[in-house]
Amino acid sequence: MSTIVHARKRLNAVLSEIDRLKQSEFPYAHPRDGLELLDGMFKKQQSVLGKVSPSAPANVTHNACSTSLYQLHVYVPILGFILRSTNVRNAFEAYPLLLRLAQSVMGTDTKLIVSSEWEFSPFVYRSMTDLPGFVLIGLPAPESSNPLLIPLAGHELGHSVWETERFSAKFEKQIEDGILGELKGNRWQDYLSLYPQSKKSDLDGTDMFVRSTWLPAYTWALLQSEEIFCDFFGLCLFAESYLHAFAYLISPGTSGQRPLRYPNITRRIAHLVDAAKKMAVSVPPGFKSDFADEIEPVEPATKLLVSIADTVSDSLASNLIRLAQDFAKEKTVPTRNLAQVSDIYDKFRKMIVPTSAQQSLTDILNAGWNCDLEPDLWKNVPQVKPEQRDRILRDLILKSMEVSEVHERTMESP
Amino acid sequence: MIIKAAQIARELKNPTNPDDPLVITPRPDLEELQKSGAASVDIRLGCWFLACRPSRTGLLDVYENQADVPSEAKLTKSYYVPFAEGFVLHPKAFVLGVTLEWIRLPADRSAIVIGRSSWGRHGLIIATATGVHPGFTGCLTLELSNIGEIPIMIKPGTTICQIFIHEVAGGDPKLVDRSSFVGRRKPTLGAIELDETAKRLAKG
Repeated sequence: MSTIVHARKRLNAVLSEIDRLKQSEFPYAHPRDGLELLDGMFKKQQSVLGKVSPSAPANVTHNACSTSLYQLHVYVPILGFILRSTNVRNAFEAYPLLLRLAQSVMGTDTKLIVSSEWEFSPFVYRSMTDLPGFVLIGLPAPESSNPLLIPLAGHELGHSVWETERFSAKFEKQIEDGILGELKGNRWQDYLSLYPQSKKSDLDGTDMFVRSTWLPAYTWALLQSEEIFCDFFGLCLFAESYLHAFAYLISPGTSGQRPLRYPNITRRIAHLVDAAKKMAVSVPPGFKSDFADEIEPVEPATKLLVSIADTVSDSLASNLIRLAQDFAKEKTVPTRNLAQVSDIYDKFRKMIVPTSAQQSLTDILNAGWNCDLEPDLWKNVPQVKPEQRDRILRDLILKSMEVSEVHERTMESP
Repeated sequence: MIIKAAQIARELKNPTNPDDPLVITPRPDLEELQKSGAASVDIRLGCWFLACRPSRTGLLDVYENQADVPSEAKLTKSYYVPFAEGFVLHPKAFVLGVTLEWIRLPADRSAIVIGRSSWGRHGLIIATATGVHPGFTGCLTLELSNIGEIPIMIKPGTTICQIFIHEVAGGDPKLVDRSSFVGRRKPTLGAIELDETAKRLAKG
């Protein structure tokens, strides 16, 4: 009987915590809206548990308790995410412009929570069935005040687009055909060395054992395709600044085992460079050589399947570039304007926040990166001590975003 | 010499030296300034505030070892108030705010920032007149205090103070403000630094 008692106490504890979180100082409405939805969801769970009578069959009690426990596992990390979204370390001035961007690609009802993560990689929470219409993007906590990393949110936004637009469905058949084609063609001898009794015709069947021999390659190829798409989407949205932010956070790599859901870093960079050429985005000098190879798997079956997944996801790269470009074009996302970037850059060099009508997020970030990469920036400006340089540049960038928002709000009809 | 608002508008629109311009962003309404007979420009409240955390410090003693002086992070707590939200300043409360405007002064201009009398009469004062030196660029920290008897709500974007801009004559035009307050978008407490004379006089 203690199971149901524990389950009720667990829910009471999380509801009390939500009450405390509601007293946080929310910089924007959407984190509070998310909290209200989760409050409602947990209260519903509490009500369900309240209806479980002491005489209920054990399986009924267990089902109710395990459902509520599952919800706790899924959503308690989100409560932490919402709490961290209120921390003053975050670059709040960037939020309205990011929200506008998210709404232009995902729909005007989209709600956005930008927070900081205690993981050193940007992150997006996915499939939040109890937070419909929400996009949750986290940047690494030590960098969450750094506007120069905002372009990486473009990659994370790409994941939300991939999911809501069900883009994976466009590639599932191609990926399956590609994997089976590789297995029956170039890789047949390697496959036979692992599964000596196999016949090529077995691969076309529905035998669960046979499918399980190649299914990981299918999963990895699909995940890799998504990651490649997200890189292309980030590049579409943020142009050169995406490449700079990517190199800042990821280069040269951790020299560890490569994560199989991503293309290995060398291929990832090669894809980005190809896409940049097609999108007329300049690749920074030495970009490719900034990254070092990661360790490939050595276990024979994994090695074979990863190599097939790599070949298949590589073959989709051109389609994925087109998909990212077409989608961004359809949603009329503002693209990087070189003349605007140059104008903002000139102003930043004079430590001026641009005064003309609202600037696009992309242009501000590209101008910011151009300044950041200039070794002599403000060296002859007596007001600026070398140790203040980076902080002042970040403040200039964030102030420019805020001023852009002021223009937007004051242009709206009263 | 204090520069009249109409002249400020002209300088904002067409800087006499484009390499060293006077800039106020967001830019005030230049037409209004042209028509105004005033000698100042209204300045708005920004979104960041810095309030003291008295419970974490027993005493601010700058005469001891500088390393022992509590840091800004220990002494204060930051608040971000978005547009359309408000910050309530209670009677006797003291808080640092910041201007919404990013201001850049050329080498031949200085400024004084003071409160607006309409707010002052209701108890809200800018605690000191902030002097802004030639070459300053950034948002200005404002010392806000409610010396009235009722709490006052203030919202970012409100015109809360005014800036008087002066012409600076003489001296080396390359010598400009080198304070650590340059280039900031948030209010800052800053460090109190004693000069050698003060240090010697403070010794027992």
